[in-house]
Amino acid sequence: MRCEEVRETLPAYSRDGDVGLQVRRHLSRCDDCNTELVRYQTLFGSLAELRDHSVQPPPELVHQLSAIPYRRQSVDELRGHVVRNRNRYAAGLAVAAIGAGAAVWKTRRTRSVTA
Amino acid sequence: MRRPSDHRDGEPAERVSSHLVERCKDGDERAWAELVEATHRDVYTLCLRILGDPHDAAEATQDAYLKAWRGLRGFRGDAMFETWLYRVASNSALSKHRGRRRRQSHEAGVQDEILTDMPASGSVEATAGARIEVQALEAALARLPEQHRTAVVLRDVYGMNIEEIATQLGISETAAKVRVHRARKKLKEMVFEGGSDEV
Repeated sequence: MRCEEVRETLPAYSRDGDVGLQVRRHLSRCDDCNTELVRYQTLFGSLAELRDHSVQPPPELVHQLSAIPYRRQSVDELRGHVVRNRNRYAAGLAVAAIGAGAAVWKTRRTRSVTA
Repeated sequence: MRRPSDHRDGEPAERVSSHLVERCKDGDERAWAELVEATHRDVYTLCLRILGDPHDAAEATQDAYLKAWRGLRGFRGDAMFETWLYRVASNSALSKHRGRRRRQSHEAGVQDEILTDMPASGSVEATAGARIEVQALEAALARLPEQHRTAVVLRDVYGMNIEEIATQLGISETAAKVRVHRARKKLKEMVFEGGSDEV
């Protein structure tokens, strides 16, 4: 196998050990490809360790996240209140609509009488 | 001939006990605060690695915890809680990523800031058991094209399998494999050979 072909297999080999016999044979006698293999091994080892390195989030974030159950609760409470009192809200909306309609009708009638 | 490393897809360190999760499922707000305190840095960091923007990462983190709170009853404990939470978080980050208009100038500013800590090109020596400096690696990741960065972060930092990555990214498994492969090659070039970020 040529070095170029072997090097295409090295990421999967160094990460998952997934490689054929020919590649192993090539690696047993090619220093350059072995250097590449070590580079990938170093890269994967370092990438896996990144998971243990966290970045400090904005300080307010933890408070916002901790408050999620309360936010959820308030939304649920509001929704429950509206559902429980839906007849009252519907009646209120109907009265408001009738009132607005009456006001419009009265205004138009006044204008037509004046004209 | 050197043997491949023993690195395998490891579970994240357990910081959330099943008892704590059960208390959260019962609506215990204090338990939720404990859970948030134990996990939010890692979740924020995951979102930041995918999105590359602190503001977007904070929003994606909020979205992830909101989904986690709502979906907590569906968590059956088949996997570790942290693994489940990472999946929810990466999903939130990727949704945000798909939905947003790229704020190129802001992101470029953040990445420039990170890049000031990057070592000179090709300065990392590859020797058995060696490790790359965290800042150098984060800077190299930040310079990868977004699609490649996301693929390699999910696969090699958070240990997701190709099937999960394909699902999260909405692409075929073959396409996910290709992305991961190209990202690894590019990242190796950038870290060891001072390769450019053009792919």
